[in-house]
Parts: sequence; C-alpha cells; structure tokens
Amino acid sequence: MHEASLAHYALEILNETIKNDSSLNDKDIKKITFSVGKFSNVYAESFEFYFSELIKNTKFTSAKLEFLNSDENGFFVSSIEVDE
Amino acid sequence: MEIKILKNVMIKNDAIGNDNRLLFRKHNIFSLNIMSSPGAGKTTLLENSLSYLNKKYRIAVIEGDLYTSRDAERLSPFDIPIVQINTDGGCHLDARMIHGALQSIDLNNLDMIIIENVGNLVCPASFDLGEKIKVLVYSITEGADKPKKYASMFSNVDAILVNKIDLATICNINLEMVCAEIKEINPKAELFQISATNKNTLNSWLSWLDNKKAID
Repeated sequence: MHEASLAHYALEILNETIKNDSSLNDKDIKKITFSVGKFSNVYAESFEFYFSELIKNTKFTSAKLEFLNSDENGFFVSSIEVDE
Repeated sequence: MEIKILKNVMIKNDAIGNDNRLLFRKHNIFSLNIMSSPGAGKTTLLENSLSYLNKKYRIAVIEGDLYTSRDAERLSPFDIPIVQINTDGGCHLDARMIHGALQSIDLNNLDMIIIENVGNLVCPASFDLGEKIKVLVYSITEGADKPKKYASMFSNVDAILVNKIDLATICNINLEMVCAEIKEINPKAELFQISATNKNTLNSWLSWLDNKKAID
C-alpha cells in the first residue's frame, strides 16, 4: 500500500529533474530506471501499478519502466533515457 | 541518451522528517515513534506508561489510525494534548502528516512527543518521521517466527518491547529463544520483556526512557 506514496515521491523527483534542465523540455522520455534495494520494503509490481496510473497524460506516459535489484539500501530513481 | 538521477525516492519524506527533527530540537522536545502490528499493545503500553511519564514530563501524543479516534479517546483521561491522524486506509504515518499535526500543538510548553503509528509491522519502518527514538512493540502471541519474517522492522529500531510475556506458556513460546533471535537480527536494540497490562513489568523500560530523555 505504501507504494502509492512512493509513486508520488518518485514523480516529484522526475518533475524536478525536468524542471531543472531546460534541454529536456522538448525531449521524449523513453525509459525510467529504478533501483530496488534489498530491505527497501518496495514491491516493484505494486509500485509499477500505481506509478503507471500516476504518469498517464504526463510527459512520462510512454516511458518504459525498468526495475533493477540492488544490494544497496533504499529505493532509487536511477536514471532516465531520453531521445537524442 | 541516459541521464543519471540517483535519488532515493524517500528523499521527499526524509526532507520533511528533517524539518520535524529541527523543530523538535529547537523546542528541546524528546520524540519517540512507537510501532507494532495491530493489537500488539501499543495503546495499553501508552496508558500504563503515561501514568508515570505524565507526572514527570509535559507530553503530547499523536495517534495514527486508519479510522476512528478510539485510541485518542482511551488516552483522554490524561488531559494532555492528543492529535488523532486518520489515514483513511493508509498503512503508515509519514513525515508530512506529523508536520501537519505539529501545527496544532503548542511546542513551547512540551518536553516529549509520543507518536503511536498505524498498526502495521511493515510500512512504518520505511518512513522517517523526524523522531529521536524508534520503538517496536512485538507481542509474542503473533508467533515466534515473526522477527525474522519482518526483519526490516526489527532491524530498524532502538528498542524492542517483547509484550504479553504472561501468555508465553499458553502460546507455547520459548521466550529465551525468541529474544536470542531478535538479538541476532538487531544486536544494538535495547530489549525489554513486558506485559503492558501489568505496570510492574514496565520499570526497566521507563528507566531507559528517562535516561534517553536526560541525555537528549
């Protein structure tokens, strides 16, 4: 259930990234990669469900979501992939 | 083209948690966050601890529940500020909710804030509220297998109160083995064996809290 809160936090981070880099304004976001730590208490499938709903009709709507397992503690927005 | 971001998703919560921490420090308020499964005995522990703590300190309580103000009502005889947060189905308290609750408490006349989290042995472990001390109440009636099953909660707290020890025999629980397993998961946590309904079993816990408050 708390994955819903995390989806909101993640979208805020992504929006800030776009806002702080004007060169990204007209670029399509192709992929968003998340890193899921061992004890992060995050169930990626559940997060993906909420996050996908949240980004509908936003700049991120057609981005592919990728989740990589990690030994590092915590749940991270790792990177985005944009059109050249 | 790949653009690195590398930001912890909890950063949004943790930033507000830090604001809360600064607010507590500014007003010299000691804060604790009590977590457990539903029905493990958080409110009973609070009732029987407050009868002692309330004589020594000026205390406020923030109650987190999905629905109802039943816990706040149980604590109302203590005549202290109580803020009830209803999460409407949400499984944990987050830093933003606590920040909101703090707006309705007079922080200038307070020594201690006790947060009773939503009953849940999973999600509350992930959310920093800005508290000084994290406390877990673990009732042995939940089963001896729970510490390792819920390791993220057990490993992330400063004190663990093993509750309902008076029911150990009935529940066929070997207390020594349970405590050894908890120590294995979290060697740093202070461990107390209590029966929250019996005030006589709370002395060590309350002395420990006194010490923590004194050195805060």
